Amino acid sequence: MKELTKLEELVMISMWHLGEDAYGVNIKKKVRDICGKEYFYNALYTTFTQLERKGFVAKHFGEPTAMRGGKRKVYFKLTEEGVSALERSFEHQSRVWSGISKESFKRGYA
Amino acid sequence: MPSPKDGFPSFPYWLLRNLMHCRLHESYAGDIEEEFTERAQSFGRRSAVRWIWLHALTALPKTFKNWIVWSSTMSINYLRLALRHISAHKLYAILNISGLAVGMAVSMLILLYIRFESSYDAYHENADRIYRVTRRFDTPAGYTPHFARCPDAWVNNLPDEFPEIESLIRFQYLPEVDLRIGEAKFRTARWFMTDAEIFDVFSFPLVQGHAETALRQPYSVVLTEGMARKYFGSSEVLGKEIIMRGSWPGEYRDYKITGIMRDLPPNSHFQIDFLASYPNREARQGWAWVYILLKPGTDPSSLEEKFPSFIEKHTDADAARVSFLHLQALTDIHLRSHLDREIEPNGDIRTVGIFGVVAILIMLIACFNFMNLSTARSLGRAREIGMRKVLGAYRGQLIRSFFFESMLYAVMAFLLAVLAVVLLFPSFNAMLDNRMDWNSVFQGSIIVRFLGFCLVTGLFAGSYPAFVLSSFQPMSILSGGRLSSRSGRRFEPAVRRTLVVFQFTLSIGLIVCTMISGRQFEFLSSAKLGMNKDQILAIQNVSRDVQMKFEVLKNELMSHPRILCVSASSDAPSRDILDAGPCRVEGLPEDAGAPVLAINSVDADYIDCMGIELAAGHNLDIPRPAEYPKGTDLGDLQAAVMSRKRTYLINESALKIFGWNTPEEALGKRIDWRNALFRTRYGEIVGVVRDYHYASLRLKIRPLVLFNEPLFLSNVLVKTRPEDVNAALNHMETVWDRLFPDLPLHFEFLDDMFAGLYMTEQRQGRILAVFSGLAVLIAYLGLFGLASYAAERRTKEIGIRKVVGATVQNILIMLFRAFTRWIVLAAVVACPIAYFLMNRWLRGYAYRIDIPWWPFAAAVGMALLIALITVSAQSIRAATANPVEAIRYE
Repeated sequence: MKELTKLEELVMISMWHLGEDAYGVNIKKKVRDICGKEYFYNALYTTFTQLERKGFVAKHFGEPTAMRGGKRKVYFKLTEEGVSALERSFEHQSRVWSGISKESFKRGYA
Repeated sequence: MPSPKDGFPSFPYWLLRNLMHCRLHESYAGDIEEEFTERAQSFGRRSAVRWIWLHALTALPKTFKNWIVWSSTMSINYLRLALRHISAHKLYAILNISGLAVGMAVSMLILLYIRFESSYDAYHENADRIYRVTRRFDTPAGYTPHFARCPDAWVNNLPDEFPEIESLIRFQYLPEVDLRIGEAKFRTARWFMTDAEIFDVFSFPLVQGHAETALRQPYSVVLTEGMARKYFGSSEVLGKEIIMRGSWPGEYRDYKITGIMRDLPPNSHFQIDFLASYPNREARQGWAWVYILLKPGTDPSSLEEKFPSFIEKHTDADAARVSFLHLQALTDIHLRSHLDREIEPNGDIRTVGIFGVVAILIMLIACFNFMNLSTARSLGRAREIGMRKVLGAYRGQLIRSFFFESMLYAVMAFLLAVLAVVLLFPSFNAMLDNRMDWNSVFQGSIIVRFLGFCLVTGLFAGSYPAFVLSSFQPMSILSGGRLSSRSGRRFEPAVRRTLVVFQFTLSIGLIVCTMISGRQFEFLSSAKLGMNKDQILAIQNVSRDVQMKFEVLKNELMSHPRILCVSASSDAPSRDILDAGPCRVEGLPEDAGAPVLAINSVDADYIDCMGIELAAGHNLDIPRPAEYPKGTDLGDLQAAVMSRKRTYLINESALKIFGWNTPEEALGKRIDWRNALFRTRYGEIVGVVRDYHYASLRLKIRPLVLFNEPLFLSNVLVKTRPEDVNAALNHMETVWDRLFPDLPLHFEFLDDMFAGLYMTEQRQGRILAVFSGLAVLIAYLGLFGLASYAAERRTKEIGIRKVVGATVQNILIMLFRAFTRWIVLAAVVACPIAYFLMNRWLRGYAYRIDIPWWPFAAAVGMALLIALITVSAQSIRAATANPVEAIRYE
């Protein structure tokens, strides 16, 4: 069972949100929108490569545009495995956090 | 790609693009550009630039990690390739590595030697501020010695009159001294009286005793550790006494040991057994080697300029015109000083230079050899290079892989060479008289330097294959199956031939030089001296009471049938005669000028005993018995010397300097002689002796006067019969012990003393011979490799030639012709250069051989012969092989 790191999870969630529009710049923006943190492309691309190797995402090339200096985009799409991994991760998180509400932090105990 | 006018900063972008190893390279770069443009539009260009910089800088650490990982991966790949090549072509690898290793080992040994020679006296903390004061005379009469020591007491005033001189240390010249320690007797010349401040100036660390006080008291001595062990058998000798015998009979002095100093390092320009304090201020005069310590920042040459007025102040105008003081840096003494009366014979910067050149030449030969072999080898790898290029290797990668390979060879050769140096150091050192000390020479820094040197060698040697071979066009290589790159074909044989010719030029040159110098050394040690040095032993620098009892000693010795004759002289043969002074012919006007003649006091039997021939006249008339002056101070001695009636002998060189044409012309002329201390009476020239070599053949025979002055007869010469020398020696010892019970007997054979004069030369000659032999060996290793490669490359050609009807001889001649041409060309270049160099070198000798023709012939013949053997060893196989084998795949 392949574990997801926090950043991998974030990237996959962003891709899930973006659907057909998931490529580098958009993913970066989405990640920022979700968690408020600005990641560098280096880190993101390392993650993309990692996810691809794990078989959770598949890539295909888009058309080059002038804005990108004539370079092609790479679009990412979650594979079925990727989706189920995300689902597992969601269930896992809910299970882990179940029974804990925001009030419990204010109270100081669960 | 955004153009610079968009304000796209190219450097961080370049960083990000090139240093980020990412499979999605393109879209990564595209993403960055897209966001940059977007940011530039919405937040302004400056913010976008800041953003991309930030991005690039945060990428850096990771980039470095990647770079290391990738380049080490490549290195492992290169290493694997190189090892594969080595194991596939073992013979070449062995030739290559061993040639380079021999070259490196030899150069390293020479470097160690050079380092040792140039490290003399540098261990003194004040080495850069210590100068030796030397004394030069330049009289109109032609008396021009430059002494390493000073005779005048007024040099002691130097520190008082020049504030830039911090202190002055005298090393008083003293004759050999006899010591008594308990019952044991010793004799040494390696001692000085010196000043108490010596330990402030020179770094002679005291093991026991206090540097401040050790030599303050009169009659104190500081012994070296080695001598303490020799004299006392232990180093716990502080406070013990040494009894020193004075120069006059019955004169004894007790010296108290106040300090033990560490033995002087071998790289000191003089060695000492012990230092003694001056008994009083008055003793600080007479001949002494004088060293001064300058204040920091003093310019010695400007100080030197002030010396003439200083000399004039202490002498008079006339004396100041002919005397000069000079300063010599302490660290220059060993290699650059060849003055008269040095403390010990010094080294020679020329020798060090010659060795350095030899080291460089050998290294060059080894490198060329390496380059040649690797090029020859890698031409066979053209197909591989083409394949690599087709498969996507960059030229840079090929270059790196070639460099890596040559570095690997260099490092392997280096390790072998270090091993060889460690193993060979003792015998190399023995050839150099064991002066080097492993610890002082072989330090960490030199290993680092050697390693650097080895890497440079690798770079140098790998450069040609790396740059030329990697330039081959893959298409032409692969389609032809052979190397057919235009640049390669044009370039390769020319360079390779040049290298081979150069190697052989160097080897032939080295052989010729070695043979000629060997011939000269042989000439030096076997030349006719004009006197006899066999079966003669010398007891040198005998003390005053031996001199006074000389007649008795002589008679006692002569009573033995094995002893042929006994004589004495003021300078022992084989030692240069340095006492010289003007010699005046009676009757000529005072201002006629008197030539300067060297003088040697001899005993009546000297001429017969030494076999010196008379050209005219007869031997000296000597009144017997010799009378000794009653008093012992200088005035009494001077009066005694002046009062004696004399006759003189001169040699043929003196004849010439006086301007007399025949020996007979000189007979009956009356001359006198004087120097700074002594003057002799006018007396008749009773004979003329033929010129004889009283000292090294490097020196010209000086005009010489022989006379008799018993006071100066300080070297006793005993000639024995050739058979049963031991009986004569036993007799001599018995007589000596009876006459001089408290003096040790030391003697040396004259032929050993003469041989000792050329020992340095002989040693250097031997080393040069070994090294040039090695250079030749390396060159032939290379030739062997090339020949076998050539034979291999031409296998098909040879096969076809044989099919068409060529004989084995034809083939061999064909293969050999190319190499012969190279060697002949090398000989044509090498011989004139060697002739020119040897001619210059020989000019340093007053008596020398004419350069013979045969070393040239021998060197060239030898080169050809060895080449023939080397080439044919490889070629015969190719020539005799069945042609079918060679061409059946065509």
